[in-house]
Amino acid sequence: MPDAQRDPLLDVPVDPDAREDLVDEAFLDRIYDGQRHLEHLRNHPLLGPDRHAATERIRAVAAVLQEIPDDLASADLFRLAGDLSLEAGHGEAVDRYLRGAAAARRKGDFRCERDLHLRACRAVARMRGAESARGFFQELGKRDPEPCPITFALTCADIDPSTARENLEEALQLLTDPARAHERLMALEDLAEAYLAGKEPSRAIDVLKQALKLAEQWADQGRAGHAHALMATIHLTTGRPEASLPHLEAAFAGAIEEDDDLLTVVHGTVLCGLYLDRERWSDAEPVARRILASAERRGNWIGVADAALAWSATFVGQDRASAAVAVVGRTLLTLRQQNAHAAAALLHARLGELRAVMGDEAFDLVLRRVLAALGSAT
Amino acid sequence: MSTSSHQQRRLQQQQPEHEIQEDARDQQMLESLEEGMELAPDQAGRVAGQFGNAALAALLGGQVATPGAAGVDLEEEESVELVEELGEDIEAGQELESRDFGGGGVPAAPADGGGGSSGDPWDVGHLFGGDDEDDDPNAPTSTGRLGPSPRRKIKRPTDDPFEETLDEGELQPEDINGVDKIIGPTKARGETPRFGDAQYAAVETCLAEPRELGRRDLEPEDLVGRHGATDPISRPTAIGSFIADSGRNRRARTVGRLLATGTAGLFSQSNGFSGGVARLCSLAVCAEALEGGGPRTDRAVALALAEDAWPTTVGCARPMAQKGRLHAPEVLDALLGSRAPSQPVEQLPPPSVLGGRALEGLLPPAYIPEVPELDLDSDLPESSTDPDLQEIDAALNFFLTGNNSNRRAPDRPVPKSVVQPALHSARYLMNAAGKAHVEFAAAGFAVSSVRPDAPVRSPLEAADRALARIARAILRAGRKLEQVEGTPRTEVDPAAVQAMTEELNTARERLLELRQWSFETIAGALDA
Repeated sequence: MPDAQRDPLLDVPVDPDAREDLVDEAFLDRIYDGQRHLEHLRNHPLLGPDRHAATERIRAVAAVLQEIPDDLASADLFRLAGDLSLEAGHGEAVDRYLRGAAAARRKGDFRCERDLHLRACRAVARMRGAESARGFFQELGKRDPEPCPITFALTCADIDPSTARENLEEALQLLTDPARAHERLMALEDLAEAYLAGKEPSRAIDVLKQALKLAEQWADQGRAGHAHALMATIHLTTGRPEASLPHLEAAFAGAIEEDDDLLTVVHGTVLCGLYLDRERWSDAEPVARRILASAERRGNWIGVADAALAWSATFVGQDRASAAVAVVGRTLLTLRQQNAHAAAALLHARLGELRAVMGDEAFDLVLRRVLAALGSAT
Repeated sequence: MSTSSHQQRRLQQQQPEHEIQEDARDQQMLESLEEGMELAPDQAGRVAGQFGNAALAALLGGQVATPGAAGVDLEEEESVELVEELGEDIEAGQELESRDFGGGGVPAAPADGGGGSSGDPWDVGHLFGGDDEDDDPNAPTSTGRLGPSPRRKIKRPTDDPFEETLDEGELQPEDINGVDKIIGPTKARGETPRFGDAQYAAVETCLAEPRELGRRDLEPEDLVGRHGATDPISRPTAIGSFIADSGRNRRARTVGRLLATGTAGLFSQSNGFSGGVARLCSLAVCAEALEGGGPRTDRAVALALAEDAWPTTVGCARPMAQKGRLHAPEVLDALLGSRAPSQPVEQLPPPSVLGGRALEGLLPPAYIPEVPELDLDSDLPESSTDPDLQEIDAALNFFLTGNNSNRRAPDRPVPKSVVQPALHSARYLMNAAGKAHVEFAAAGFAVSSVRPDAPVRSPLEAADRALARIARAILRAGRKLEQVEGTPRTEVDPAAVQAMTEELNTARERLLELRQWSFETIAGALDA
């Protein structure tokens, strides 16, 4: 990353001769806070607690910048906001980088301008495909010596997937600045994907272990969970479910710690399936119930049906088929009330399966009792 | 969905089975055109269409018949099962007699219909959004035991060979009917507003019929050989595959990859077939939710699953191509059986990037080659600058060929082999431009199958006009290149030849850009 250009307003030291009676003190306080936030953002990667707080910090600095002329707007701020958007896969990353590049140009900081242009190019490649970004990249051209070698290598990796590995490896050798740890982490994940695309899962795992270490070093549970999830997926898709279990458990725990319902459903769903397959009923049940709660909060009714089926499977596995019928029957009625007929159809099918397993007389008796208990007999 | 499939069936019935014509007519038309002759857009479109016939014909020739279902001889299995069943029936009878539902030492079942007390075994308690305490006193405590393995129904022999029979593992009608009698059928009660992840409904198409979602036994072979947009395994798998390839969010791609390649690992015996399907479908919803974008993403995903669009469109376009009237909007009108919905050209829909990728995925890969630069002296052998070696070369040439003439004669005409590579590329370009009409029509048809009232005609009209311009440019450059062949070298300006190949390459670039723009804009009609 190029050295941060000092902002003429935010970065100047306090003038001891300033006349206090002429100064809006509240404004100065805001400037001071903005200065502090900007300094923090510049020196910390977007990982862990800093990643969570970054949006707020950026907003606070941007609020201060709105009170001063636009050409003084911080290019760094746009870069950081762009990085956050890029990581989340949001299209506004391109706009943020380009606005940052325009701000850098106004300040005469051409190295920062190129860095942000390359980042914008990279964002276009990610959002709209490499083909779309190629024209922009050609316009930017090659420079000798390259003022932004890391961003250039990362951009080349996105523009030309066939050379992604070489470019990412080159960029990773240079990405040593702790303030760019989030970029290093993203490059490691990209490299793992490139190895996977080249059918080299073991090398992908090695790279993901580095990513995991980095995420843990910065106490970023979410990113660590993602590294675990990637490793679990590789193990699962290469026929090693046993090896995937600890990673899934870690990813699931990370999702809960981050209070992320969507990832809780994702990781929990796979984890629960593996527990059921291994007849670990007591492990599967709490996971299933946790998914049930998270899926309901998300309005993912098919997820609710899946969790109910997983929970009921723990009863089936323990020869408690009636309890299984109770869980499935009750969930079915609830989903019908939500008009979630597709999810309800899954439970209806499961009742059919249980009827076939239990025999019609036994099943009908149990289901009638369940409905009577719920007061919902039809 | 059902409307579109009905339309597809109707259209397929309407299409006569023509033999594919030779490409000679196309060639005749090309030859009848004069150099520099300006073509009206309509004519150019026709020519483009006719050139496209070659590509179309190749595609039509390559269609693969759907394999029929293989018959299985179950006689031996059935006789074994008959013996097993007799034993099982006895066991089942004994089991039922000995069963005690809610009696004994466990909390009593609510025989009187009362419920809700803490000792109620039927109150599963905290089911939705509840805590995760393992020692939940309200957890189900029924003593109902798992029954014996499913009773096999012996299929009665039938005289009707066309009568539909259920396979061994399928749920029998009485399994679902028995549930229906007690709990009522599961049916949609109209459309209600959707919120949260319920907005991602693309996977629900395969979850309409409960009987299709369950199986009496879960066997590994139940998971293979699945295909079709309404199959409960292939649909979520296809969604995963699409998101793994085209998703922007890394987490979404990871889930997509798992769905696409790890299907078998997501099924477990204790959860049954329906449980595995539920897991796949839940992950498909999650993959969409991770990708974000709400209904726009969901519509793009639904678009990616409209697999019938291409073969149906090719079938419809074939007679139109043979008549030289291949235009994307007209093909779409014919497919829909009426004029497709439209809106003013100045109000074209905003592009949908994910939808564009979905449409590209529905079509066979396009071959749009670059036009090579021509070296007018490429037919000449390399000659040495050393005069001695030159003399030896000349002597060898004389002894080998008997030819004593100087091959570097300035009036030697440019042979066909020199211009042929560029002419081949030009022809491929024309074919690609013609095929693009069918591709765009197929894209429009796919969009209409997801949302019948999508204003899909306007982007097709704009693309049709652009294609005509591109076809004219290719034709003009191609004719000029043709005339280079046989012309004395002294009369050929290498810079002019280079300009011709550049013109072709510019047309190629425009065609590539037009394809991307068209797919994204046609897909955007879903959200208009």
